[in-house]
Amino acid sequence: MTKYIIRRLLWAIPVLFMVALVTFILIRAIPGGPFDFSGDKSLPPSVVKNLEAKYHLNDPVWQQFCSYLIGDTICRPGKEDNHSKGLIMGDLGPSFRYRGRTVSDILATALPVSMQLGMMAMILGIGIGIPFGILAALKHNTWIDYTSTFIAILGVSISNVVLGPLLIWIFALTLGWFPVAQWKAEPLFSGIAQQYINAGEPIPFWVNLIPKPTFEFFHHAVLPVVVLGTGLSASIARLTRASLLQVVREDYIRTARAKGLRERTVIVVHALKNSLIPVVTILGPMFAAVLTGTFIVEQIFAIPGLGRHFITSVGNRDYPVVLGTTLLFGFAIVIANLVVDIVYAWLDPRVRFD
Amino acid sequence: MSRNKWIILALVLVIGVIALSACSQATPEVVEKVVEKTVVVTQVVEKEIEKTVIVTEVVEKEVEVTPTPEPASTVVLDINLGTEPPTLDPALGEDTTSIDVMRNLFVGLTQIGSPDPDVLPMLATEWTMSDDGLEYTFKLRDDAQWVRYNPGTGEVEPQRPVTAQDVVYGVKRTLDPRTASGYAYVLYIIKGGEALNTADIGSMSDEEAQALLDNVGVEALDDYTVKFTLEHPAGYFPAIASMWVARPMPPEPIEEKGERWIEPGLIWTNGPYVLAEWNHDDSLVLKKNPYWWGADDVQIDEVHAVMVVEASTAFAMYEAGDLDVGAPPLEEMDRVKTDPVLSKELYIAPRDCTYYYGFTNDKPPVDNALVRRALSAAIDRVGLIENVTKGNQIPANTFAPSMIFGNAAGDPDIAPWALPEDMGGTGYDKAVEMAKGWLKEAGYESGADLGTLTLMHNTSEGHQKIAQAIAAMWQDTLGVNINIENQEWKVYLKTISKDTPVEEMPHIWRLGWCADYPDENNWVNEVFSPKARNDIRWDNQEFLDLVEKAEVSPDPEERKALYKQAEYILNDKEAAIAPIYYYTIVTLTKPYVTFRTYAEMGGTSWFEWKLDWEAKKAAKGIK
Repeated sequence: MTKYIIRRLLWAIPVLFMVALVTFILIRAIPGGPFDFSGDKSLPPSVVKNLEAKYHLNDPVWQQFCSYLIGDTICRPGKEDNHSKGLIMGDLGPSFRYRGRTVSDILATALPVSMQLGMMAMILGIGIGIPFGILAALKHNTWIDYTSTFIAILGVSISNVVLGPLLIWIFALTLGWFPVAQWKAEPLFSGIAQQYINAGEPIPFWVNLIPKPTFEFFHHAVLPVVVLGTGLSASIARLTRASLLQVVREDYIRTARAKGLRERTVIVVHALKNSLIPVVTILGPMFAAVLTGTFIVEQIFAIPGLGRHFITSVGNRDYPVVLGTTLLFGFAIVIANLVVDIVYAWLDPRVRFD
Repeated sequence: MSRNKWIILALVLVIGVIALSACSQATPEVVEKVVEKTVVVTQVVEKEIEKTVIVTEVVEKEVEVTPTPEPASTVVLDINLGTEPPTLDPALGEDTTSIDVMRNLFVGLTQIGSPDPDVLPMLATEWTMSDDGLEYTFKLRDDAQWVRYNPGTGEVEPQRPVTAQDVVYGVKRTLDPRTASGYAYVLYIIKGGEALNTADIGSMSDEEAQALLDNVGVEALDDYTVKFTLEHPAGYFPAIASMWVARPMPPEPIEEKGERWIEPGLIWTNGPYVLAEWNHDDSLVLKKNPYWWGADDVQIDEVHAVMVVEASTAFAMYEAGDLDVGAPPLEEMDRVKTDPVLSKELYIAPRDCTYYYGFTNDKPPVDNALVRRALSAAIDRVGLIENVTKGNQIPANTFAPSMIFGNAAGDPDIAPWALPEDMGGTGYDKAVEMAKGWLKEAGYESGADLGTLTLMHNTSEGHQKIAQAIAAMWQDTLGVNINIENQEWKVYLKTISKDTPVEEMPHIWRLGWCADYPDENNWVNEVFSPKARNDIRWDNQEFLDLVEKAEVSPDPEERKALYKQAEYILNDKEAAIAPIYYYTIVTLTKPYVTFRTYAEMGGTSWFEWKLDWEAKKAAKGIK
């Protein structure tokens, strides 16, 4: 099993290399560069030249890619203004748009926020989705089934673009129960965070990751988590229902019933475990996508997560941010699929790794 | 019994939560007291269920007793920046968000006033121009301090006085190509500035590079006197001296920390506020700088600026009282204008920007001035503003709006057919008749004979609505067939640039322009000079002569006359562009903000704003 995991992780390297290569080429293939224009204005060619020189955009593209991967020291030998240490050293480069911030800085502040939101939404989504899916399958073709299926379809069809502002209007503006927007996560290790703040250094990822469970934090989190979580729960519920319905018609379930097992044992021990395989299959990529940032919910609730960087960096032609976010997402997908495969083995004893 | 216990426990929990949320504003001491009481409660209620009622009363009583904390004396202004400022480094600023924040952190030699865009003293108390107009000498005040905010103690710490050397350092830093400043070009007017900024400094020896730096025409005569030498006379130079790229900058943190020097705790500032917090993509906090010379007049102690991108969310926050100023999204404008409360809080102020349609002047059939003029005249600007843009924008007959030096906005000598009758123009009906006449004169019986014209805009719902409305106007009045296309912003800008072959250019395309400094030079010369960007692809010698002469003329009256002539050629005689409207800023302001400024050039000065703190506390229910 350990061998299997190591082998899979090693496979991630060529996968991520290809992701980097394709993204690197595609983003540069789009017309327009990062510094051609500022707002509605064009910048004169002389200052654009300075900007491009600073970020080595006037190097040949292969050299830029080489520098991005393994650093300036190897790829631009003898030049004075070398700054990139290369992806292999964990240097994702500077942001072109946010001068003075690196891609790593952006990930260290934005990713924890997205992960907090995504984690809570996934817990809510699974917590609602799986029980409701089971309930609907067990009470197949009764009013419970119809009601929960109806709600699930509603949940899938109503976009977050609609649900978000609607909930803001009802619960924040009309009833005043929750704040309109924003995310109020204070690091749990506030002492460590303060040390970084005092030194003017960016707070590292792991310090930002775990929030202090304050009232303010949860008060602000309720609406966005509900919007994101209900959308997820709807798809999970539909899939759980469909999968369980299929499994309970299998012969081995009939056998289990025939030998006189209690209904609860039949469902929980025999049917449910097996029916979760398709659910787990979608949960993996869903986790990866939700934890790395959701543009719409973050936009509507003004949450400083990573979702916006996926979108705006392309519009800004902020090449390093595009590459950094894409690589991160690729990495998350690789890990999620690995976890899914391991969970398969637990759900289905027939699955073997070697 | 066991069931009773559970019910009681649940009740107690609910009460506890209510009590906690009710006093979430209170001091920590009070919370502790409530918790204490809850413990007692559980002991009591374990005996009998009937007692719960009494217990509830006790808890509620406790909440009522809660002493309200001392009223905070800190006056806080809550605003929305709309986006993360890309930088707070004066040498690197390009966008309005950064410029707004920087205006409150860094002061320059001069500042642009508001609402009249006059050049006023700031760090410089007075300045003189040499007789040939080439040298400007600024006297600096001697009581300006660099300060740093200490996040550990929360104190503002003075560092050292701001001197003329800091001005010299700032200007040279902006112009140094290694700084890679996007706005360095506005300082090309300084002698040796362009030579330095365009030099290939990477392949030079240190001595050569130093010689270029030394050659820049900015010099500290003593600690509080700085002299600029210009390439050519420029009456607008005191306005340039107000710009962020020309502000004094502190060498110490910049040399030590590089581009990261703008973070709280590292940054040195010399303005009314200090940067206390910067939570990237989320919010920043400015605190009053007690060491600023004008600190006594700064009434607002802290500015809490959030970065809410989504306009409807920001508007909801304004309505919920989380923001003191707001901007209604377009789709809410009708509601805001009719709402009894919001309509009183609505204020529309003119802004230094213009929305225009450019013509590709060398592409048939719009290579004919008569055709261009006909199209420009057939735009119903008033109807467009009333029905589509809805922000009380001002119909434009020239390129530069009214707050720009040398402008001719609203002057019926230029393109009177673009103005309504109450502004001295011909009104739309007459304009359409004139347009039809010009088309005939150009040899087209109807607009349909022009073939299909392509109108392009960058992808945005607002631009799309405007394009559809104008295309319909042209279709209805002249019978012109219009094909509307749109492209993503950067692709679009590439498309309409000079490098695109004329066959692939759209006939008509949209752009906007906002002032960097309040002078026509920044408008007609820097945008439409055939030697500059020249998206409209024209080669009008008469226009070029006028703007070049006006740029160097020392006589303000002569410059005004020359610019008026240039605007006439651009918008009327040649109709190389169709100016559509001057932007406005549509704002909502809570009544307790007793004084504010609107869209002034060079950034919003929050330090001048006044706020009735008692009224704000009452409105927000702060105890």
